[in-house]
Amino acid sequence: MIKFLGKRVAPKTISPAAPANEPAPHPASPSNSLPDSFMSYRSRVQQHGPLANHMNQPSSAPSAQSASPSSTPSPSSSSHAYGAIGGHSGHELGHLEPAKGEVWDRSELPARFGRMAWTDEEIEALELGGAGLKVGWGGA
Amino acid sequence: MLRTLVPRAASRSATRPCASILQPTGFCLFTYKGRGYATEAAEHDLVIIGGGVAGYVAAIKAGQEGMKVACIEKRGALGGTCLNVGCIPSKSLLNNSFMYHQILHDTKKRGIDVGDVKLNLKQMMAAKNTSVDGLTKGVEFLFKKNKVEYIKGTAAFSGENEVKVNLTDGGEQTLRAKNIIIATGSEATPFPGLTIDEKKVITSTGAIALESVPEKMVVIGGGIIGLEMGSVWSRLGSEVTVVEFLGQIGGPGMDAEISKTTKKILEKQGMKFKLNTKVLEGDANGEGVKLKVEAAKGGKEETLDADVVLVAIGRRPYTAGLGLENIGLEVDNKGRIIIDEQYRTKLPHIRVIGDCTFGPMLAHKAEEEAVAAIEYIKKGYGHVNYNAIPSVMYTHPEVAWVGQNEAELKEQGVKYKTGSFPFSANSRAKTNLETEGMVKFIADAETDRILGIHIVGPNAGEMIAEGVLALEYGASSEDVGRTSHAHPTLAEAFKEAAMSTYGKAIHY
Repeated sequence: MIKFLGKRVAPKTISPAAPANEPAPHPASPSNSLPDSFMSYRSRVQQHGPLANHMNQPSSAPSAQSASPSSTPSPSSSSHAYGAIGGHSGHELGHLEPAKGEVWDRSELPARFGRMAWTDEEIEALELGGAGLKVGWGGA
Repeated sequence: MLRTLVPRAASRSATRPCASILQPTGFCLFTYKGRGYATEAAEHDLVIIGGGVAGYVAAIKAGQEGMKVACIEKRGALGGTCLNVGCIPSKSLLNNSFMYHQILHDTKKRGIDVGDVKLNLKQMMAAKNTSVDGLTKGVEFLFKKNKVEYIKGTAAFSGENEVKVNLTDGGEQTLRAKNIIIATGSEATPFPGLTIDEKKVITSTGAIALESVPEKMVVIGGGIIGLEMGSVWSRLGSEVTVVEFLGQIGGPGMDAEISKTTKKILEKQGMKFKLNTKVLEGDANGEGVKLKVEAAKGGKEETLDADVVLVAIGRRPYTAGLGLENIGLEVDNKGRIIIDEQYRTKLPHIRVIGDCTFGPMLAHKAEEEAVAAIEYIKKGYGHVNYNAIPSVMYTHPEVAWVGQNEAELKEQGVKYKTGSFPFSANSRAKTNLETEGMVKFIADAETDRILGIHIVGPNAGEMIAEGVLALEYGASSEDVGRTSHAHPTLAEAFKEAAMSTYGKAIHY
């Protein structure tokens, strides 16, 4: 028989079936899978957009995540207060664009950073098909 | 701030044009130069597209949770298919046509002599409309009570957080929302080659609004909708033939033994069945409709004549005109919008519930999802147990089930035991002179945990609620069998079926 231990209390933290940034297939989905677009969209908005502040950040999070503008208000300390994703107005979350003087992605850097001049060594390496490549040169 | 230098290869890929990076959605986050947000006052916490069962329940729940919510509906009445042209009007007709049929055929043995009994179809339809109007207006009242903004019009996505509404009364309105729920429901699947005119070739919508009783009706599809509406017109005097492609009636989920019993009972009531039969083509050009059919596995062709053909081969998600393509939302091969387990689409602030996404197309499933979706938005967690959603067919007797059937368990290789109890051995069914049908339990062979409950008999639709609760709580058949059930009730058959699963029934 079921024995009740006392007054019902909601637990302080409730783990969702899956972390909010790792969408799991719907239980009634016939394919039991999600298209790649789900993760690609989310990783994009979480990496570069305002949702980055409110997601469970994976340990391998790219450095751009920590570069979110510090001016972005944090509506809640708990990731599940009023929804993990989509629970907050975009207005509250901040902008999709970085603050002045900040960049979130290399593509936003001025062109001089994106188009570095070719060095003679690189040109030679290309022409020789990498045959003259020095050990350790390509490791960045 | 980007402080690290990355390899040249990464640099090149990062400087590719945005369109090549940004997958199928067709839009680019980095290009939102002019993106701005509406003022606080203009932005809703939640906009719901569709005022059917899924949509209106979500709207009310959101209102109760203190959200600023708007619900957009184009029909002109709330409640969707269920309230307006589905569950509710059909139940009105089922109930009243049953009374008519019973008065005609089932009173003498009960000691009631009745005089001249006549059908007043117009009044029967008016009674149906009264029920529908009362309920839809009730939902409108609940909207007001819970401060839900009701917008009459047709909505389409014009942005990730923006919905444009063509208002029914003219004009256009743009709504911005933090969250959007799509709850646009479903529509009847048409039969290829037959044009639905809702007069001669009808769907369930036409079947609840016929102006006269057709002499001959052919129902394409022996699922729940086909059998319910076939029952109505059969009781009112039509000669009804049901053509079903599969080898059993009731659609997927109905236990084969229950389906067989149900078919026998419905045949006794005058309905005819052609199982394993394929409809090849239809011709509605003449006065009636001619349907060419043949055995599903090949065989002799046959032509069926009908005054009215009811197409009841299923329903399909309804998302036309919603502008899903404007925001890159994907649908599967059956037109269902793809969502994750929290009802979120690819765009996590847009959720989908009800018939237009995965799962059975049932109003009560949609209601559960509506509440869960709001809880996910508000609290981050929600709950729907898709293994404990009941199905009910409101014929007479009713058929109801929850959980798995024998065929499904066999396919999964699960060892199970069954127990059943016939209503013919139940005292209340005897006194009611309604002894057809049975209750059947399926439980795990080892643990006795209930895996499925299947009922055909009087009041099965109400009785199954106890079964759903048992399944939700993970009960064993012994738990149910050891629970006191009032005497004399039909529910005792439920208890005794449970008893016969783990031991023996007393009265059979």
